[in-house]
Amino acid sequence: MPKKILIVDDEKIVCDMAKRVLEHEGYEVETFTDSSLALERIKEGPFDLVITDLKMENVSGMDILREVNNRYADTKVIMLTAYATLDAAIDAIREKIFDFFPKPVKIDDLKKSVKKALEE
Amino acid sequence: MLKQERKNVNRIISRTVITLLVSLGVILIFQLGVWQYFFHFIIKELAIMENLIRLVSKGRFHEVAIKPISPKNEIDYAIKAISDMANELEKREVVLLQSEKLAGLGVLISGVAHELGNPLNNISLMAQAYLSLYDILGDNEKKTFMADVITQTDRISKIINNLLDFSRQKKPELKEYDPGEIVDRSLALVSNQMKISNVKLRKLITDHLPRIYVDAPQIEQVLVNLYINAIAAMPEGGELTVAVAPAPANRDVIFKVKDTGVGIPKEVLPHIFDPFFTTKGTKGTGLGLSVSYGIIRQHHGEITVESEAGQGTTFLVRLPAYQNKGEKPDAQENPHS
Repeated sequence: MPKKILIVDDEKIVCDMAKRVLEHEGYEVETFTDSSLALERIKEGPFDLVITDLKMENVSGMDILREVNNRYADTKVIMLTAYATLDAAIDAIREKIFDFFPKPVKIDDLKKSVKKALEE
Repeated sequence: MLKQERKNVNRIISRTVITLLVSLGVILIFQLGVWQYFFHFIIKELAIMENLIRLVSKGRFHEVAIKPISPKNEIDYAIKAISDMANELEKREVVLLQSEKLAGLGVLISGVAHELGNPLNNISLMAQAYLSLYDILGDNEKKTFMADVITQTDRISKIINNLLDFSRQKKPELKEYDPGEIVDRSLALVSNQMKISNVKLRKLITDHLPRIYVDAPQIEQVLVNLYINAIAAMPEGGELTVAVAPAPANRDVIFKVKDTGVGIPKEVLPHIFDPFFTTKGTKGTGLGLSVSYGIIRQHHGEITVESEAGQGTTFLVRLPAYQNKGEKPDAQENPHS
């Protein structure tokens, strides 16, 4: 069974590119550019890994992170953000997060982090 | 003999009296005429002066400063002095306007920097994915990747041009505009700022609004300034309402900018349009609203505020609708004619 990854980012290109690269690595990937739809999807069933942007309209990355942590103990979360402030990182760490990437994201680093998250 | 002599004297006296009276009458009439003439002249010049001073007080400096006159008398000198003063005031206002715009730009920059981050990240991701997937990508996919890169660079250019348009010092240029278009352009400049600050936008623009005859960059500057203030008033996030509606009988257009922020205390409210008055400490110049006030007044409009501490703030900007009958709302009255 391939590992299941959910990607949430209101930039469609981020979703598309991450999906392409990670599918090529053999993962099963679902993407959402609308974070409120992603939140609904999370309620329907677990993923092994969720990659989410921090700042999004309606539902933020922190909301996604909390929802995942509340529901699924084993699901890891990687957060991406263009607004990499220390406060944001601390907030995310307090909510239990696997990794945190400032944008522009290095795809190789992301691939390594994804691999590590899914091995644990 | 003596009788004859007295008669003669009497005749001479009465003739002299009549001559005197007639001369007096002539002098009196002549003086009245001259006086009337000068009085009329002085009143007319004073009326011109009054008109000029009134224009200065309304901030319509360019209308005062348009016609150079060569003074012939003291009143002309006074009129010229007023005209020179208006000229000087106009020059200073341009400088003030520009410095305030640059201050506003400083606030916009952080939002814009972040806004540039997204397309840059997209380009970077596409280039990395392109390289890493190069061997498995088909020709068409490769073309799509590059087309997407172009779209993203266009997006960056657009953001930069928007900023440049905002900061550029241009001569005020009055043109006919759709008020909704001006609102959209001004909102584009703060959309990212709002996202970062967790501020939700409620935009209410009435259909078929009357058009307005304005200098668009200046009105955008006023609106952006109101948005920046509104966002600053909502440090925990909130809702920004931007509404445009016609005033009764379509004579005016009213822009409403309303926030759900901390509000303005009663004792501060009367001072908010004063130059150099700020509640933002060193972060504010205290010029934003006073410059906005000047811009709106020059457009023959009005800017007003309603607020209560803890209840949010509402700014209303009223601008005259464009009367398309060959007559423009700013039709210049020539003060020297």
